[in-house]
Amino acid sequence: MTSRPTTIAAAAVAALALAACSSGGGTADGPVTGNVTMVVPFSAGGGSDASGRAIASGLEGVTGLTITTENREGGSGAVGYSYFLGEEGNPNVLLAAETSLISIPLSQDVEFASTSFTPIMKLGDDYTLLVVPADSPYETCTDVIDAAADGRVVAAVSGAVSLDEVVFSLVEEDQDVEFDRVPFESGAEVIAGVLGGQVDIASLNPGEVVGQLESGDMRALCSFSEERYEYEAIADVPTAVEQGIDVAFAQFRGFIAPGGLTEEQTQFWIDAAEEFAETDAYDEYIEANLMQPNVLYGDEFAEYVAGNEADLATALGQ
Amino acid sequence: MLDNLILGFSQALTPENLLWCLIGVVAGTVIGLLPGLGATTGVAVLLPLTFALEPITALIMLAGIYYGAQYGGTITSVLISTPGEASSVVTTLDGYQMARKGRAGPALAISAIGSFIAAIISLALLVTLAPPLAELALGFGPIEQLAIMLLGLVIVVTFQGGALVRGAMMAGVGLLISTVGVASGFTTARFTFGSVDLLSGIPFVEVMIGLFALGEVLHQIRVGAAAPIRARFKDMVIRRKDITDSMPAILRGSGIGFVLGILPGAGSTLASFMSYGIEKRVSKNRANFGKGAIEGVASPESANNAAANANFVPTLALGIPGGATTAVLLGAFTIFGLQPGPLLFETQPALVWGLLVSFFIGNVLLLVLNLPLAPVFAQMLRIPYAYLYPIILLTSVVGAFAVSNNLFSVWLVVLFGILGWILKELDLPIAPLVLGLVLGPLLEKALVQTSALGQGNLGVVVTSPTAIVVLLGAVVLVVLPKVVVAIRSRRTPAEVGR
Amino acid sequence: MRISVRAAGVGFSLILAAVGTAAAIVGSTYGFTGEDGRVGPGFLPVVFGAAVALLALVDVAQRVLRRDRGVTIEDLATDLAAGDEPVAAVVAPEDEPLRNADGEEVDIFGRTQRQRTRILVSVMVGLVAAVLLTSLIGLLLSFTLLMAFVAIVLEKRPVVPSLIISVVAAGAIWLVFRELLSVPLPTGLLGLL
Repeated sequence: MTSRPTTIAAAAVAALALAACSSGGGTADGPVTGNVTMVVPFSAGGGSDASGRAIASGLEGVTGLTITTENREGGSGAVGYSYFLGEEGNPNVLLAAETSLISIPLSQDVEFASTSFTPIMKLGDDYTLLVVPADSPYETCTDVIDAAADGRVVAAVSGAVSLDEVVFSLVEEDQDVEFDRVPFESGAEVIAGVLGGQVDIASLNPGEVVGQLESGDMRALCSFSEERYEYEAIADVPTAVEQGIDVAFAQFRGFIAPGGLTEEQTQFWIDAAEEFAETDAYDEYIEANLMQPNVLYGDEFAEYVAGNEADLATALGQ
Repeated sequence: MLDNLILGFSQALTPENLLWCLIGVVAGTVIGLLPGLGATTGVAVLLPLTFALEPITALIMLAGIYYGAQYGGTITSVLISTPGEASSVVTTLDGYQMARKGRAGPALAISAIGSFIAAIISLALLVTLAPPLAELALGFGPIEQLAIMLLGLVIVVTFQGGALVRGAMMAGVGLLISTVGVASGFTTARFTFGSVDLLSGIPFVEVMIGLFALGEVLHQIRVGAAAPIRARFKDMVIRRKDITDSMPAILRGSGIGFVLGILPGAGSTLASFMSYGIEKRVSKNRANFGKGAIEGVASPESANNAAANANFVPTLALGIPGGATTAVLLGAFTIFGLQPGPLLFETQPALVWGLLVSFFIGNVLLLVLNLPLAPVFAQMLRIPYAYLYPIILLTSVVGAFAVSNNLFSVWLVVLFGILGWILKELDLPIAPLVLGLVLGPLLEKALVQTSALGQGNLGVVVTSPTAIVVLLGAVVLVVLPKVVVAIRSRRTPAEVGR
Repeated sequence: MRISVRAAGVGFSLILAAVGTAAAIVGSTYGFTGEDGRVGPGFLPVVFGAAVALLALVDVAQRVLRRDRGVTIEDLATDLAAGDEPVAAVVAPEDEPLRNADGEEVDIFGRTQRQRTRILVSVMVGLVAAVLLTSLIGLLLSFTLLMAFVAIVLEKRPVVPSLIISVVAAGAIWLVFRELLSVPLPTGLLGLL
């Protein structure tokens, strides 16, 4: 972990002095050698980018390979996955995946399916909280549902196929109400919209809003998780189920390899992933993002994806 | 507040931090010199360098990279008409003309000086007003943003002087190009013809490299080799008069930049375009704009720097990134285990104020480095063009490739290079096209949101007094020049006749 | 040499008008408005397409209705200066162009416009060729070859300095991108560099 940044720093200084130098990238014996690329299908700075970079540096630590992160954003993630589809059989490319792996093929006309790739590791689950501005009249999620039944409630969503869109659809289905959507482009923009009072409610990952919750600028009314959070900051946020809304939906975060890998190559990455899960770097990532460390590997991850896809398809009425 | 500032300086001003800031500034400048690689990419790719450092040192170094990369982009804008990112597009207009006249040195120097003054002004405003300003910025929702975008377009279209129709036409072309791909809030792929590469739209950086770098090379080939620019050393060093002439432009640019920088989304590109557009109307030297007026460099350079600093208002006070680079910096906060948000000022005062002060130090270092270096950089133009332009070709395509890791980008650069050449030969303005391309997605997002807020009725705009004022401003900008012309023509009809 | 910039300008604007119209028509198939009259994915393509078409036609009209003769670039510049804004740009007087024995305008290497145009076309073709060659020998190698080709063959610079400059520039790029930024440049089928 610590040796690589120093190497790069040294390389930077040396390169700046226009002196030649060679990078200290390690090589490993085994089914995967050479440089590896971690594809992030979203732009730099977002949640997927953070997880992609965390995974890349974690795997780098345990495998000794050089892993470069590459952002291939666009089409709500479709561009990155489509590119990844073309890398079939290449063990030197990975992709930082989340629920869009399932939601994109369900809602858009793309060439890949959630089964086109080799699932390696699910790092954990990320739920969402229903948040309102501090001065909102709503005290519970039930208040929000009642308001939506009587009139207009404006909900911010961060994309046409994003997790918050899915969650709102599930709530609408369950409670037979309708929210008025205003599309934003990222969690950060949604936060600005909520704080500025342009929208009434939003559904965001805890990691995105914990700062605003602690400062009292926003309030979380309920969490769309099976159980209450154990993290201190949001431990007293009731679940939606407690308030009579039967909706709990987790977004997974993990990484996948292209389809068509040999058994050896798949096993190499699964072993590396298992080793990564034991490191402090993994724990730090999970805690910093207030996620649930529900880890799955390989085939179990594939089963999870299949089950998740079925749920989502029913929820979206397809 | 003052004790906070002292705390900040005591945090930032250690020899170690200064050294890393210096390394950051130099590394950033090198990145910025490469076509297409700007501050955002610079910070993103050099982020790993900082992992081994203390959080405050790392953030100070990142601030150094940020400013260094911006300045690197300015250098190429002036010397070879190749902006590093959208916010230095306007700098090419007068900066490159100055370089052609042998005045690259003063152009680079005024840019460093303007940025420095803008940094002082915006730091002072940040220190005193950040929290209330952030509150104010939150009031700018989709409706108000829509109004600002429209105002920005009007300013840019009209700053082409007489060729109003052509300016508007080129802005339209840029806007039309921006609609390619899947827009935010929709799932429909537009004008992609089945190409996966086009799903995310036509990327701005490649267009910019093509239109500016390649287009200019092709144009120069057609025009033919001119005598190498042999400036006397005297002309390479900035004069006192240059500075005093530019001062009003710098001050206005800083103000405009700061105001636009606070608003989430609008950012430094719009700020640089708008301040240039306004300067072109009010400057004493406005007749020389576009032909190498030093005010035409000073104004956008101060504006984009002030905007970059003001971008940190929402970042630090609300935990919301104000621009792409601040988003990456916010990502860096979390990597160091810091939770960005409204409480950051209270929980980590040493860090926040240290960072604010380091923006200032970054600018000081840039000024100290670049005042003497500006004439040196300017010497690059002594390389015969026959050697220089093949190098520009190489760095352009590699830069474009590096941004996206995709050969498709290289094709785009070649395609837009040829388009850029055609536009130059036909004397059609390129800057409005670029701004149209940058503003297009933002405009569409604001429009879609506004329409959603109004439940399909765009008339919801009139519910916002701010938006009405901004839109009225846009109307005035279109109508006023005509009125002025009409009044003048009544006085001296012979002078205006076509 | 008199290029009819005006004819080219009219032609280009006509093309833009066609493109704008086509974009507006295709755009309308994406859905101009969505549910209860909200802005749909086709809204802006239609608006921008129509605007480009309209403005391009106005531009064509303006160009055609102006003076009835071939326009040089210099004329066009003064055309622009005669716009409706009082502070319009006035192009600074250029130096008298160099001329060769036959009175043709030449650059400092004594090349005529015809020769320069040939270089221009060669560079454009070379660019396309270099990108095509990338899939075989890699990006860096193929553009370094282009650099050397342009300097030696087209610009007729001395061979040794040209080669040195090409190699040094390529080396610097390699150092910065591959080593400092670890950006993987495409190496092509042959896997060189």
